[in-house]
Amino acid sequence: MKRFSPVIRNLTRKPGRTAALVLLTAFLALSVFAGSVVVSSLRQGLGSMENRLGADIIVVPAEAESRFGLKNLLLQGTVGAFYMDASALERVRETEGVGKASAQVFLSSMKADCCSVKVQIIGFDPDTDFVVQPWIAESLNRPLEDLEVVIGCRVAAEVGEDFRIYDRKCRVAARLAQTGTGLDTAVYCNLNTIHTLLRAAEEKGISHKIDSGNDADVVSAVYVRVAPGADVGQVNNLLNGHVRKATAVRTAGMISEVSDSLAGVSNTIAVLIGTVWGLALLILLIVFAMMVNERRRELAVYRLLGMSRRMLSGLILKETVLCSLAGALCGIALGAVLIFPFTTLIETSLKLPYLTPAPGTVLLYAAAAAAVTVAAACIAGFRTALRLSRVDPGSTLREGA
Amino acid sequence: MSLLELKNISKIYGDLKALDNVSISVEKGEWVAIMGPSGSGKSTMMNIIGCMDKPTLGEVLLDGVDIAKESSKKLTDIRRDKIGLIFQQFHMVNYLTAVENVMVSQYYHSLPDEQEALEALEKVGLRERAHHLPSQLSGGEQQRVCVARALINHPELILADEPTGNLDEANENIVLDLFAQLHAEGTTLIVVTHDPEVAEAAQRTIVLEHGRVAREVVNENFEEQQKVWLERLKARKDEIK
Amino acid sequence: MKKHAFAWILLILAAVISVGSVTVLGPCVHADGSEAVCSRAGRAILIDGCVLAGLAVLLFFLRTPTGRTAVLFLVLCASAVGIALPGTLFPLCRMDSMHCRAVMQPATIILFAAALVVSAAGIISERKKDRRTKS
Repeated sequence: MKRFSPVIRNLTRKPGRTAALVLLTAFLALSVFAGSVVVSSLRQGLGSMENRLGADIIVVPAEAESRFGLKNLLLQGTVGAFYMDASALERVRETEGVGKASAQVFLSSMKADCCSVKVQIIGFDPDTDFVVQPWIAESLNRPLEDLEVVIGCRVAAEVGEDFRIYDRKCRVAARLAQTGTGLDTAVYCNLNTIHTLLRAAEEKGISHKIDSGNDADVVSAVYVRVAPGADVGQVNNLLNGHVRKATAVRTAGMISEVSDSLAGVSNTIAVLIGTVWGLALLILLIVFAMMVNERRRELAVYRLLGMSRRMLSGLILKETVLCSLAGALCGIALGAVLIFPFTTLIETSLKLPYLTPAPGTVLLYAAAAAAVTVAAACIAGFRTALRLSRVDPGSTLREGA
Repeated sequence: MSLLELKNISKIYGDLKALDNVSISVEKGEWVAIMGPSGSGKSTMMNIIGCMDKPTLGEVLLDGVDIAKESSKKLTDIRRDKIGLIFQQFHMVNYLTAVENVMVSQYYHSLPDEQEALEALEKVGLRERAHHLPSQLSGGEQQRVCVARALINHPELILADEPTGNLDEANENIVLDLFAQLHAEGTTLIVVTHDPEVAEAAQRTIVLEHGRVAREVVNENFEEQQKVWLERLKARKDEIK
Repeated sequence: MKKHAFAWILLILAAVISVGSVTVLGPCVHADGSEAVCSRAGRAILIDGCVLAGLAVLLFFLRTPTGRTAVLFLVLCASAVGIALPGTLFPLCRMDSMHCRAVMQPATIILFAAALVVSAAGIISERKKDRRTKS
């Protein structure tokens, strides 16, 4: 027996009206879903950045901050190599209020086997490091050996693979989990390895030294965690005074800058969503109002055939739910197609840490977007449903008879 | 017991009495015409019998139950379950096919059954046009679909308002032949019309004037007439086969 | 317009793919003008896009359902190939943040997937029409 539903038939026989409703609700759902995912991804990225920074203060060479921008290096993976005398590390440790301090040495590759562009190579001291090792430990449960590297998730190489940097063969020991920051394109090694690579770069005629001398006496940054009870601001000021030719940068400041940018982006997205919803709901209301006149005679016939008012408003609401659900699914699918394949593009365009939420969370956002869209459409259509259900069949059909 | 009894029905709009103390009864299986000129009150009577309106005064007994006192919702239920309606303007749903127009009537009564709907269309000689839209059907064909639609839920009473008003003579005969068939099968028919020829097809004609029953006329030749129509209908069906 | 709906949609998609492959959706461009690893993928996408455009134009002129179905099937195959072009059949640059991986690859896959879906829908529609005509 062929199934018959007046609801489905009403929708399929009036494709223009149905398409309009589906399109409008698709826009509603798209804006909510896409907006939620983007804002959530930015928040996750910020949280990830906070976790990964690890330190309260980072001390870098004075001109490095102005030339490279530490924030750019950390957030966008802008490649930079800058150096200061290794004695800076001792000066930092001597400063009052400093609890832990560990140096890192940066190097940028001209061309490694892995990539067509420069990558950031970061050497850390396994004995003193408290920034990198906690999250390396998530992927590698042993110390990093000489000429072994751990790569960020966006570096194109496989674990166990050998690749060359400045003609030195290095083995990939592990791949780190995604952070949503520029650190995803970095390569990590111990100090012995970085010094080997620095010498190799020198052999290639690429000098990375700001100060001349033995490269073992240079560091690029010192990460500081303040002692318990110490004031971060005060320690920062002391470091700025105590360590020559260096700048101390508070990570909290960096995070709050990012947080402010995030708030700006979130507000923009909220305004966009509000605009889309305002317009779409207005058009929905107009479409429903037009429907009243258009369908009066049709629904008067249904009333004559014995459909009660409740059945009639139920019929209209069922049509609205079906249309809006179809529209919501289309909008969510389109949102997914626009956002997830282009995650990298969004991240580089926004210049903010960006980490997409877990699939379960994304599904929740999708369900919420669909629910909100269907609810909005039903509310918009409710008055129409009520008006149409009150159609007086006799007088309506006699009009124009 | 009469299937339908109107007892001292009046419908008053301000100073105007559309119906004034009207009493009629219709037996089960009877074919009754209600005739009158424009303004005689026949449309008002049609609306009251069809549960689309309530009288100001009086009782309307349908199968022994006074429907004049029922709520709007209950009237809708009664209309759906007990009365099949046929209109001058057909009132088909434009974007549903013939069979779907019949099934819509079933949908809110029981369960839509395409086979049953097709059988109803076969009864009115339109099975092969089942999947055509109203715009693809002639006036006569549309009215026959409406007859099928009115019959599908096996109502106790068929109420037709000027069923041949928009039809030419040939189609008028086709519809009247169908009514003859329905009557022969025991269906109770009330046909509201201003056309004396259509009224003469019935067993009995109630003539309204100025909201009152002016007279009742019994059709002495009804049995012979019916025989002629039924033969004509059979011939038409054989021709189609 | 309704009659050639599938042809129009495929033509627009093919145009976006072809024009995109030499502009915003194209391969990486090195500052020194040297060819990137992904350049061959870009050229292959352009060629496939032009093939798709040619097949879409052909659809406007074909009258028989069999002919149209055959062309739509070719479109389907060309689209399937197009999906595999960036990254599978032709190599891309290895960093995720490179333009070819961030933009060219996802955009190409999405556009060719859309063409595949449209051509499949077109084939089903032609078969239905053919069955209706025959019955």
